[in-house]
Amino acid sequence: MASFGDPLDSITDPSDWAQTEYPNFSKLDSLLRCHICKDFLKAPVLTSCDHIFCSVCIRRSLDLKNKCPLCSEETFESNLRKVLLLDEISTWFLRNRPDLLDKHKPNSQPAPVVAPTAPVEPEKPKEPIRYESRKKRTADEALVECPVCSTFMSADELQTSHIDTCLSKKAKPAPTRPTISNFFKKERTPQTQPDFVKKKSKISNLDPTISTSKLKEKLNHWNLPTTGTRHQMNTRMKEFINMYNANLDSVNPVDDRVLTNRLLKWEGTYSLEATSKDDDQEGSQWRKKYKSEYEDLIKQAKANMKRITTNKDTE
Amino acid sequence: MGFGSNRILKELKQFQASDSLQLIPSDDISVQYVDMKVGNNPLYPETYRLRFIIEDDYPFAPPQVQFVGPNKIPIHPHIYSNGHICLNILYDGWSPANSLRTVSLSVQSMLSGNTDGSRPEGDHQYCKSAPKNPLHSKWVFDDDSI
Repeated sequence: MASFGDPLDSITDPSDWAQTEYPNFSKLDSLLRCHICKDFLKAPVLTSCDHIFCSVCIRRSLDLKNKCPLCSEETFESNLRKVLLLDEISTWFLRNRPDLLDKHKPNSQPAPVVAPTAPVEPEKPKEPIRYESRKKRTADEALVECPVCSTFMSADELQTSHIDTCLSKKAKPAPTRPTISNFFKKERTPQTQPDFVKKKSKISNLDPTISTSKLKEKLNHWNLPTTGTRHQMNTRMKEFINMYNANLDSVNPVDDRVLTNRLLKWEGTYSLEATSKDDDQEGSQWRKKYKSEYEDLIKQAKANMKRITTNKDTE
Repeated sequence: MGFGSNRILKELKQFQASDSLQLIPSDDISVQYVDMKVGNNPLYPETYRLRFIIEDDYPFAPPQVQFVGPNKIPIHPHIYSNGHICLNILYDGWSPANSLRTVSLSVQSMLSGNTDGSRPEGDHQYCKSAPKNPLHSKWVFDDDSI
């Protein structure tokens, strides 16, 4: 097992939870995985027989056989429906998994046992007290809303002190209650894809009788290399269609250029019966051709990373 | 192996060793061996070895699965003496949701339920002309009873 001991360590598996304080997580971990790639669901889709797979996995599978891998019922690509909520759940789990695993690690050194005699301050939460006093107040008198900052308070408080201070602060608006519009500004509406996806439609499946020149045209149209044998071009186009269509099922779709990149990476690891020399040449040509675009993408990615981390900090 | 290799790694990790199914360490990721024991059936007192050859298009296409030596080839009306197994999930009935483990379990249950200690009809004939790769044989699945 030594030769792939290392890659195995980087493989996530439901059994990773077995050693934690909460082994039941392994059930959730396995439920959120695709039955084809055994990895966490990416852009999950629902078949007409009610089974869920990664969009790209089931598309690849249906290329060969129009049957559901789980129940063998006849299934067609055109019937696949995206399940955005599940995509969000799976993404969340994948992102938080390392942290969750870490938090539930069995303590190697016993947790600092707090002696019950230790002078523990009586729990004195700040919020509830205010909450209670407010609650009491609601019982006696009705609350009114400040017309400026929308905070609720007693009419008395509003008239005597609040309204003046609130008006004087108006230039620098006081922290208001989070309103619905604020909430949506910060994060995209749940279960919604970005607008640019709506303008795109799925690429229809490749007609196997397409002429080679038409096939090259199609590859050119999507900025894909037209090198290699007919079989290689066919495989490349098919895989791109699967990746492209699957991307449209994702709650966080990526730019087409990222897809092209992934496709080439996939081709690099997947032998299309090409000699390795060919691959090298293709690769270097490709890298040269798209150098500036790669650089753009890297810049974008870095900017995104920065934005994400700063967002996290402010949250 | 592009897509398949990652998936195989996952499967290897997931292959929980049980008493009756044992994944044999292998240096080549595309060739895997599973040692199988069949409990409660006097026809199969030994440990039998399954070999999986995983090709590029795995898991969308089935792996090559057969019994291999040096262990004995179990005697079963659907197992030829060259190790080839007549089981539809290994050929036409393959689904990418299957794995090395589910295949091993299917073969194991096929053995444990069997009471017929004979080779398939035409075993000799088949072994003489059979292609090396069982995926290249023409299989007819006509008997659901065994």
